[in-house]
Amino acid sequence: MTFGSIAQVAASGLHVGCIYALAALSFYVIHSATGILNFVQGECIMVSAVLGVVLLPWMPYPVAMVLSIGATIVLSLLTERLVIRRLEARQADLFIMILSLLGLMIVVRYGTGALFGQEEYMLPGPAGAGVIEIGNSVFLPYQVILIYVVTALTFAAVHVLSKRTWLGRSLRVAAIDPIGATLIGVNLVRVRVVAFGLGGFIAAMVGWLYAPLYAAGYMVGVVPGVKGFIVMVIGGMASPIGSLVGGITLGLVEVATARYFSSLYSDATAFVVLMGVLFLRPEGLIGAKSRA
Amino acid sequence: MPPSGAGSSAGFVGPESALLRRRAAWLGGIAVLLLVPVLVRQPYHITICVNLFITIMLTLSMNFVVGFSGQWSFAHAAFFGAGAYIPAILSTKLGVSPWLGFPIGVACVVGAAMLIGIPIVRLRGYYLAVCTLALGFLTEVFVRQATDITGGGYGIQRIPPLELFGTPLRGAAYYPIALAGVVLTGLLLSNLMRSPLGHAIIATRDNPEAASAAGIDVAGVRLFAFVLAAALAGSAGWIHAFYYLGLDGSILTTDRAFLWMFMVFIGGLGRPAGVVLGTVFLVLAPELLGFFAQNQVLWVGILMLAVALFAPRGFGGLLDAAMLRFRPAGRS
Amino acid sequence: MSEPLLSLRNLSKRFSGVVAVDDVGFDVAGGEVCGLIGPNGAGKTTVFNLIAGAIPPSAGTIRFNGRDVTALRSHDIARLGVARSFQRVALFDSMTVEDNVLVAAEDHGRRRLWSAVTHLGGYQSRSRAAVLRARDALELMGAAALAGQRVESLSFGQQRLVGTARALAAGPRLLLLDEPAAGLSAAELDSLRGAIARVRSAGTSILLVEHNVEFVMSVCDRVVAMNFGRKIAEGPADAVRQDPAVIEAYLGTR
Repeated sequence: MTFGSIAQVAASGLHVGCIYALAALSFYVIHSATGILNFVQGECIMVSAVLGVVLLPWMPYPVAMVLSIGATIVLSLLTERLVIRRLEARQADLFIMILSLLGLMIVVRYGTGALFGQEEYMLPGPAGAGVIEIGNSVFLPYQVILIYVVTALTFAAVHVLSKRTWLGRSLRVAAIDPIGATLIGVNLVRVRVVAFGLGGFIAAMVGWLYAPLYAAGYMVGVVPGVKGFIVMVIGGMASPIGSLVGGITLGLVEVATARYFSSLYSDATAFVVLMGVLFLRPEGLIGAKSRA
Repeated sequence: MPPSGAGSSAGFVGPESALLRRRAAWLGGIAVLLLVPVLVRQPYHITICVNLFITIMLTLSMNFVVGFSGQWSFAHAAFFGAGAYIPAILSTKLGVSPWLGFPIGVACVVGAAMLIGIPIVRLRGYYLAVCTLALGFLTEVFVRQATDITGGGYGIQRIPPLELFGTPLRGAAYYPIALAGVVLTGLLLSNLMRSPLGHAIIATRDNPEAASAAGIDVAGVRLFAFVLAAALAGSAGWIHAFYYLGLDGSILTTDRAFLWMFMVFIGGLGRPAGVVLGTVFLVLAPELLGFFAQNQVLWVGILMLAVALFAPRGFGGLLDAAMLRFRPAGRS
Repeated sequence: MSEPLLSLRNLSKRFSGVVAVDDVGFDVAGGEVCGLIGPNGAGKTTVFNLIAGAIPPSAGTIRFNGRDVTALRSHDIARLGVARSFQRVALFDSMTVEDNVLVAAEDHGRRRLWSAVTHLGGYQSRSRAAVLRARDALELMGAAALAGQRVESLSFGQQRLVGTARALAAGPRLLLLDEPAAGLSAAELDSLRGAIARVRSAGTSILLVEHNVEFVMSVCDRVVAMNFGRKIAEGPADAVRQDPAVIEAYLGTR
């Protein structure tokens, strides 16, 4: 265990953790504003990457990126408009809501598989293919640096948004007391739309950060979706910081496990940690009691 | 929590004639089903039937734990897989008799379910859902990675078949076993739900505080329901393993658990008749409409969404509505 | 003199620093109707919940029917013969009235798995006995006509009746009633009085927690008064009504 290898593990763990943290954030913004667990977010990550692969041959890189991110946001908004709103109107209970979202997740996933085929493709990253070398053992591809930067910026932006702007405060108030929020003029529907749009945007970005390092295909949303969701629960659903801390922690633990123990079982780490947290501290590592 | 509309809409207390009619219906149904292997010749059709019976066992048991007991269970696929893999491993690697594999497999599943269930029944709402989901994924990952034990992606092949008096039970000869499985499951659950224990399960779902005040051990009843459902899923797994005589990791993916959950919901949560109908439709339709089969999960997902958005009570609800028109005024 | 049916000694309950119940002790004898009164926040409901096993005490003992039940939780106490009603009624929404009551009439003490699954082994006779108990309980509360109705269609007063019938169906020796008179009309109060008298003559003791002092005085043999978590008076209804400490407690907080 040389310093160099530890540093490499740390760097890898950090970038994996950032992906998880951002995925968790996309779940978080929706859950915190509306109480809804939107399972489709994982598939939004996938759709953004797959659309990128599909569009790239036809247009310049930035245009493809913008279009695919935009389409993903539209997907998220459509989820809100067509599914959530309808269920809300019927005062459907949580159970039906969850099953519907699971159903939509399955439809988006396997529908994409049916439409675009089951192969996996490479998506070139926005940062290009260069690598920075530190010492002799730490390799930081530009793409990884981009991940660090985007993560930091996104969390900072969400923090500023929620604390300093009317919109952000509305989101927080709507989370705590929906009825009270309407009394002070907060439009709950608009809050929900914004939350879904924001979640979709974050998920779409994750697609362009994740897929260049791994792959783009119809099953690609499963891992970041599931892990992101788990991180949100582990981190606690009271503040975005929980997602950040939880995500980075999980990323580091996973990569360290893979490197120093066994790469076979590193996937299991997330679930083991989750179950531990659920039994011992259901509010999550950082959170206060959430409104479960 | 699952909707509290799920339950016996006819009430617990019914006249003797209703009981007799029910028994007659059961016997009639079983008699008809017993004739199937006599009338059907193609082995492929036998496979469809066996598969259908296994799936009904799974959806009925899921309907029981989710609808009647009000607990999420995405770990169902894991229990099914365990009930299939454990006897299969025992008989291929250790030469244990397949028949013996059944009680051993079920005992393992029950043990695991109790171990997991005891802390789990404390959890509420979607914490429970998340936990069972995590368990499901964990099992999936374990089966995929522990190639020494489970054969990983390749799975377990060449499982020795069940033998009765020296004759291997393959194909049509296996049919009665699958039929027995589904009939016993249905009978067990049907009787259970009409007993005080079954009433206690529903009461615990509806209002745990009041149930406790009525003398019901709420945590014990929840655990029982969870473990029973796991045992039924494990039994279905055993039946699956010794019919197909080969297993791989795809049988216990969480996508499968979602599929069964969707089937239950499409059939109508809490209405066993609807669930059976829904399962029959969803399993047989791919066979009749070719393209459906390629993307079964996709189409079931689409149907699930459609039902959730437009007909939330599923087939069972439609059935109830239809029967309301045919039932004479007053209690039947 | 034989031991009273229910006996509380030095009972206390603390909730993170707040003392809700402070060294309370009193008895309820067999065949008696006892009332527990006090202004808001006096601790009556907490005492009620302690007896019912819904929360564990911080100190003190509770004895029921000759046994120490201090540590028992609600379902164990229920099986020993203590039944309770709920202020918010808490009926089982998915069931009919008759089924709600039937659940309580059934014996949940032993799981009887084999019998549950096969319907053999005494199942039929136990089942019939439970149905009879349930019907009797509904009759006693004057709610027999509601038997087949779904819970959702009942008025609040009707729901209350069913809730009490459900508690009775378990055949308890002690019935705990949580604010039974709240929200009832004068006619409904009369029928509640009648029901309480019938229950008492059937051999069940009653402990009720109530705000409506008039009502308590009209049905209870003995009354216990509380304020600020402590017992301030105990005795026959008339005596307690005139007790200066009780008067001050009510007037003082009005």
